[in-house]
Amino acid sequence: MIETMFGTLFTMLTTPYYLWLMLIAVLIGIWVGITPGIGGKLSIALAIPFVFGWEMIPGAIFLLTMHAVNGTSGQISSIMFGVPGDGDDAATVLDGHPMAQKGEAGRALGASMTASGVGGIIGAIVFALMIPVLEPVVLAFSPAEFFLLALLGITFIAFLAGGSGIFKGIIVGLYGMMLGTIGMDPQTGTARYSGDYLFLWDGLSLVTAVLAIFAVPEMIALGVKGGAISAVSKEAAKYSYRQLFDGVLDVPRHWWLVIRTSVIGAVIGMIPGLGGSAAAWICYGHAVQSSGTPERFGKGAVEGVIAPETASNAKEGGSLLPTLFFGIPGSSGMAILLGAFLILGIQPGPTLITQNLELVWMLIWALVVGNIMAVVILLFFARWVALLTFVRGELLIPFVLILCVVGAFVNEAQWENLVILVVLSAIGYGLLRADWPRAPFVIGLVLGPIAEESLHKALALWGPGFFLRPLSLVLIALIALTIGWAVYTGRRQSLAIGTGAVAK
Amino acid sequence: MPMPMTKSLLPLALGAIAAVVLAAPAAAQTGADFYKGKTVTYIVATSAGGGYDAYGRLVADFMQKHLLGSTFVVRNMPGAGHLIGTNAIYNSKPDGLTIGTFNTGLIYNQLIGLKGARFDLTRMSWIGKAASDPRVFVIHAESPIKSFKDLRESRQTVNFATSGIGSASYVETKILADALSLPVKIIAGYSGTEDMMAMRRNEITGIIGSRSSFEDFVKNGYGRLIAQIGGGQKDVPQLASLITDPEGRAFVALIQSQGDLARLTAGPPGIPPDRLEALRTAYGKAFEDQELRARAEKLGRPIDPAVGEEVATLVREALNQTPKTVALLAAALEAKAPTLKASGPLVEVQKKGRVIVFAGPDGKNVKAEPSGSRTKITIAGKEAKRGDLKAGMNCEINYKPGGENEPTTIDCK
Repeated sequence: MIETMFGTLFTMLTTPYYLWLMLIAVLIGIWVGITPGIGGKLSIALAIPFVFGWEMIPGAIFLLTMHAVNGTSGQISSIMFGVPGDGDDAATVLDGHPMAQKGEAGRALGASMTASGVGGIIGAIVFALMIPVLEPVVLAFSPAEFFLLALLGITFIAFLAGGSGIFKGIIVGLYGMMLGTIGMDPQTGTARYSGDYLFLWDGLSLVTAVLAIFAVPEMIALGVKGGAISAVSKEAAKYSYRQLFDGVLDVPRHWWLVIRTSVIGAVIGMIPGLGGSAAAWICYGHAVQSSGTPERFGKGAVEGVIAPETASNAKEGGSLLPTLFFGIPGSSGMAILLGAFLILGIQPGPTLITQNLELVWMLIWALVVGNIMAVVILLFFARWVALLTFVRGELLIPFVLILCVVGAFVNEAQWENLVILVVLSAIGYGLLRADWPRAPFVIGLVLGPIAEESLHKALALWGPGFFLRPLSLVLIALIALTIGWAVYTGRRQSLAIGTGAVAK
Repeated sequence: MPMPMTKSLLPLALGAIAAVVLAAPAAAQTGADFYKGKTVTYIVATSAGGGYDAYGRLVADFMQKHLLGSTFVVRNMPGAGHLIGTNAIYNSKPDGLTIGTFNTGLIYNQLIGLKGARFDLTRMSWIGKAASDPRVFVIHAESPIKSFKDLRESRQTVNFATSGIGSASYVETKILADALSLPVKIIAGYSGTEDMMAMRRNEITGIIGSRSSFEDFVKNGYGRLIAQIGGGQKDVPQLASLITDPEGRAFVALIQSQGDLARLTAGPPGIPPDRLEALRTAYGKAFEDQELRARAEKLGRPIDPAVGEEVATLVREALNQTPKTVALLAAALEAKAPTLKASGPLVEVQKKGRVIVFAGPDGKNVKAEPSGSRTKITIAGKEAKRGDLKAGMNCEINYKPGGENEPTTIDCK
């Protein structure tokens, strides 16, 4: 085992052919991640004709590397303009974009890229460590646990809203959950809030909603206020490589958070059925909830960038596990990768580990080396990218709004999404002006439907006693602790504010 | 890979095409010429990746190769369980430049008139089908149910997973469970491969799915196949041979017709005949191409093609179900049965119009009970009562099939 482990790494690093292939794959993956509307799924689907006739190992590492580094570059537009490339990057907008507004775009980019890379590597380590215990861990999560995990994520709303704003947070969160119920209900076969509009049957597009709630309002606000995205000038921000490296160093500074969110991300990726976007949001919520100063979040806290980025890259390692060893893909992206693997002659299943250990290690190392390559390349360019935040707003706003429109349209190729974009943008701008929290909306929209569906299934399978399972009880205890902690810190804060007022 | 049907169907289809080409060389010529320098949009009614996309891209690539001078562009139009893409294909301009692929399961939607379908499958320009996709009953490997007989006689209810209510997978599971009175409880809402994971977790025991999707799952030892509908494989008993009641057999036949028609390619109604012929010829040639066969094999996508009129006939046959089957299908899905239309003379009027008999759309006599309050009756354009109906009147009747066959409207001259 150990011999194969290091032997494959040695082969990979000493074979120029492999390194070139991975470099090309990394560059394509970065490009696909930056371009709005082209997700990782489409890129693999389009690459399939090219890998026909390739040998197994080079073909597999090429495709996997391309897929794995998508998330590393996707957050650039999230941070710079508040425009997420897909649902996974959406959580990074919450704190990444405010950092850019504070003149810290370089730091945010440095932190997010490094966090992505480290997350990807930890994901690969989790992959390697989990192989022996894969079966019991993955099979322990059933619809009952999906429901409770989603519920746990939803309770984080209490922290996101922070102190006195908790009722605003709950209202916005419930509104998101309500819009999450739009579409064909798989449990009753009824089209809810959809009328005769078929495009609503699959629910509201997450990317469109995030663009409308975050990106467009920010651009309107920028236009009204004038100036550049960064509120402080380039000179005042002391913009330099040093800021970028400050961001890079933020990752080791928060090493404990990095490890936790990477592991959570990888485990969520491992469990088919919970969805990739859930990983980033649950980890963001976890960062807020575990922080001593949750009120900084949403206003440019670097932990709010690190947590979702580590999670979204770590989940790739996780979701590769059931794909390879059960032949059951952990996400829709993995489903396409699985198809491509079959073409290359890889036969996924429990026997893969005994019959083709070399390939398994090659894939693990491809995740590690590919992530490092992507981080180095992106950090090199990030310096110039970050300068855009100091450009005058009038020059930037039309360009960003075009990005928003393209992003909303291309994802599902339906013009009706543009109508949704305009309507929700008005709501988003209203929330921004009234200074209401916007993150709970997206959490409600992402996790609400997962919670509803899983609850339905759990009740159908086991009746009202569905939660009487060991893992469920642990999750229930976690939810209770989270709520208790929220109430406690909330009271402490209001007490502190109260005594402060008296002292004055 | 055994492809028994291929051998029997393809030469027939190609023969038909050859006959047409020989009979009207000029027409075929213009049809193929038309495509020189033209771009054909091939709509796939799902997102990129997955079976429909794989077959769609395969067909588009090789039709382009065999339709000289043409360029095929694949466009993914996912959403609403294939309805958005299918509506787009059906309502596109019938110039032969838009064709596409979608789920055969939409036949169910049309049969029971589910919401959202803006197409009539019988009128579409059918180009071909690429595969057959027999259905199988998959049972958890460790379940005591080892045969279809065990399932039927199981004293405990058995959980079966399906996709959302209204999906083809739900429709098929529901009608089989009802018609064969199987002790099955349906847990709906498992999308993609979640059902396999659920079976691994042992929260569900059975799935009725397409054989090609479960081949590896069974090979890995996670499940076993206890019955199959359609297909030529001999390792699993055919469901039709395991049941005797005619109602159940009718449904099994309906599902089999779906399975035989997998991975269709069709265009909107009214494509000019010469262009449609050119498309069908290209489709036929594409599937004769050894390169396509090699690629399909590598993709792990079995093929079993049929071309043109043959497919159109199969579709029409699948849609031509007896009113009783349709009514049972609708009842199983708790959907409103569509009304049927009959026109002709009233054969009999009994009990002062409380019972009438007329010839149904299939020519057989239908005994119906008009309602005194709900049925709208007009005679020679004027509102009338059921007591005014007389045998021999020439009427147009809309009625709900099943039970009392209650007419909604009776319009007599």
